[in-house]
Amino acid sequence: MKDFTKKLLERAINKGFSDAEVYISGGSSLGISTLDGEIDKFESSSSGGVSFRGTYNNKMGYSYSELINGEAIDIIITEAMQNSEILEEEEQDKLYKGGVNYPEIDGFNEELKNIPAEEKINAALSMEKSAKQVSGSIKGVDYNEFEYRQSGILIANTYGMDIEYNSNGAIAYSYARAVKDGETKTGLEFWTGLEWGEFKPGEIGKTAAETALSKLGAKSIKSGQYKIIMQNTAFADFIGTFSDVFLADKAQKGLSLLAGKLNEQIASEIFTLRDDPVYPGSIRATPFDAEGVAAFNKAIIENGVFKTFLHNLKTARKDGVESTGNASKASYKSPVKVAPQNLYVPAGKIAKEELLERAGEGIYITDLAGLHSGADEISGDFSVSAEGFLIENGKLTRPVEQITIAGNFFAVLKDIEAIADNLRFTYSGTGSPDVYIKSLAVSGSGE
Amino acid sequence: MLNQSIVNEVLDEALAKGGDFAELFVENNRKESIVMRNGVIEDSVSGIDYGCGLRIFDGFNCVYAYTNDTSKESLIKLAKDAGAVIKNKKNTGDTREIIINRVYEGKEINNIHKVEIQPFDIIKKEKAEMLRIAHNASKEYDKSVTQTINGFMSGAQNILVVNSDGLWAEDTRVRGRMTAQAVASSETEKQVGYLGPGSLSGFEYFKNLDIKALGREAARIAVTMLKAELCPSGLMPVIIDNGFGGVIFHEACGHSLEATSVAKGGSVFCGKLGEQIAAPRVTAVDDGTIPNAWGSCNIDDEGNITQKNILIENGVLKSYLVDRLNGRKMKMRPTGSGRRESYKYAPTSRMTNTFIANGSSSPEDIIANTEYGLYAKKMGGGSVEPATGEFNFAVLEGYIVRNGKIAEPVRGATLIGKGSEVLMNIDMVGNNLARSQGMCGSSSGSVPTDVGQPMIRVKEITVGGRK
Repeated sequence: MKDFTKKLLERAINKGFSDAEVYISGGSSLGISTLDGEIDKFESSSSGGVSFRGTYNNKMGYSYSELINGEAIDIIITEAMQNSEILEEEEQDKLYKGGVNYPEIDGFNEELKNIPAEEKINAALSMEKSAKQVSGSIKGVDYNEFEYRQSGILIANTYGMDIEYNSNGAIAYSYARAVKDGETKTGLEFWTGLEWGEFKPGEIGKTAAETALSKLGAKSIKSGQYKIIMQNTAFADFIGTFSDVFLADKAQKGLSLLAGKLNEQIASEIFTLRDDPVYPGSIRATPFDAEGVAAFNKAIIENGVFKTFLHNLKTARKDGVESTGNASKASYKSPVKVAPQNLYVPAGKIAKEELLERAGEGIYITDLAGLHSGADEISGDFSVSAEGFLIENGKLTRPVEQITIAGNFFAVLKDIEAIADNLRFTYSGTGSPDVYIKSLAVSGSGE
Repeated sequence: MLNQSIVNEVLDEALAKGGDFAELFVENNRKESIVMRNGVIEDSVSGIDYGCGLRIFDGFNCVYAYTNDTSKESLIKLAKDAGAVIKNKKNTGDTREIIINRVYEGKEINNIHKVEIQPFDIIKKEKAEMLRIAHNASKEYDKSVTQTINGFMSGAQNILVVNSDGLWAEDTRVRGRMTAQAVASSETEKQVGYLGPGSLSGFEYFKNLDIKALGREAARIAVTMLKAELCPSGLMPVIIDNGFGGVIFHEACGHSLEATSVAKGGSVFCGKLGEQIAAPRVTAVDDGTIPNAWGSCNIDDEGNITQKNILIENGVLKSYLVDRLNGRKMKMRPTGSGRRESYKYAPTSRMTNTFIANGSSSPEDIIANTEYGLYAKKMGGGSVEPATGEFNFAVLEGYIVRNGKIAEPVRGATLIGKGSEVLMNIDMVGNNLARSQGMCGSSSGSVPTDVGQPMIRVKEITVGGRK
């Protein structure tokens, strides 16, 4: 691979690029899915690709290939040249020269790598079994999977940058289906991490089953304004849906209503939002971003005040600030963009029970569906279907289904009344504790 | 793409330790995409996706492995590692003799999706100019249009499917799509209009496309919604117009008819073949053979020739969408529905071009016969929970219907309900069938699909609005 990289960079300069960079990512994975006590699917992979970019006539041309051989080099360079020719943005990407200190993080767990496939299979089987043991009403575990991944990223350019980072991790989830009196409900539980010892397959299956069972007997409710507590994972999904508003490139293009609001109070005083690419124990942790800029922990909103957009080198140059180390590539096929790495709401100080007591009456939302379509990232308007539980006298009572909650993201930020201490990350890398929101419009078909 | 002697060795190795069926899928996919924001070309990326996926069945169990390295050594190792899992699973010292058919039948593929102009023969500048026409048309439509995003993408995917039953099938799929998005803004509001036409054909599709009209229509939706009131909430009759309105059937019913969810017993439509699951006026079809349609293919990603599947006929459930593996579990023949995004995914049952067939009512009659309700002229996206059929959809462009007439536009509406209930509640079906293009995401990745329907009316749906 070193040889291929060297040849590609040399050829680019020979062909008239003034500088050039390769970004190589690759890895392997092992996925196990079970059904009815047997391995339903077993998947293993080893794959990767090369992303190339370089400055040609002052424009940054991109191309990629999964074919890695001498023949591919010419295609990669020709495509990058042709792609650069039609670019029209005044501000172009520029390569980073590096030469800085990177945070030391250990994202590769040898023990996890060496756990035999057999043991991983048994863990997956045990998740499913535990779910079914909870009750005869658990009629199936429709998705029950364990996945191990390891990956490496290498960035090398003609300015001498040559950095590499290897990481691994595991994801496990169980999705149980409860059926009773003709009614079907599902429950999801998951785990992500690097420490095999922290993985408790039995607990995951059991929790998934209990979640499904707890939703049985759900009914809709009467439309109206309700106090809302969003469960940690639901609020994490919610904030993840609107995370584009914090990206500098969106703001610079007029696609974020937060443009021009730096240092203003945009949220409740108790609300803080951070992005921490080096979050300890996260399987998404990384010492540098997709441009090779060192990654670090930063507050986006602190005590309600909007502190910073997330930047890469290009957006930072436009705004006259430093990059926040949030350059991102969705894969080696993508150009450099901006994205959060581990976006989260830090834990508050009160227990979930106290949060419920403070609300007294309202709805505890456990799941939101249709966020990708029912939420307008630009205006902040949302209307999404939800389920959860009724809160009565400060306690969770009956399950609630077939409702939509509607409102505006920016208004929700201001309406946050209290934050619990139960911070949890979803497997897409967004985290939150339970959050109490003053009120939202709920529509339902109940009496 | 691979020579036959390597294929033989790999399939032999895959079945050496057990298993009763092995399949290789090889892909070389040349792709390009260009994105223009606010009239400025910002991204232009192209490249080659290349790799190979190996699938082994052992009864109902499946092992899948993939790699980009298609050298003989790498593929043999892939087969060996994947085959070892089969052995791990059984430990029975199984001595069954597996017959591998080495006389491959090159399936005669009748290419019904003609390509006149290879997209990669057209220079990028011409594609960029197309985007500019759409951008200009959006901007000229109204001064409240503040942003546009226009995209072009095309791909030429060469595939080879070989299996131990003796199938050897190759195909090329050339697709292209253009997207037009316009944002209209006032002091306090932003609203979005969007269209994304595409086709399984060459660049000629774009030469025949009215790109100006596309840009204008995206702008019209955004501008109309900018002036709209908030949608009222509650249970009410809903009229869903043709074209992308079919997303409701796709999400709320189509996914529940996929063998992926039926074989597990995880679908509301399990065991319902031959039963009335929809109102008698509803007939629904999944047809992968429509010439040059976005969701069509000559063969599916398991090498089966695609077909026209009648899913529901006059309200009676006639067929599921079945792939090879789930077909084993369900004792049903594959329906040409095995699809995957790329070699990185094992194929499973998916939709192609799925739509509700024409009924007898004219759209004018449907509106005129509705005293009060919501008219969803353009639908946005949505999602569904297959186990329960619970769905949600955003309404992109909506109007209130009052006294048989389309009245004021309304924004921010969401439709929620259960697919099985909505099917029974369709009380009028129009005669203006149209299809629209989308990308459908599921366990075998994101695949191009058409949704479609004529205008339909549903007796009542819960509308989630902000009022």
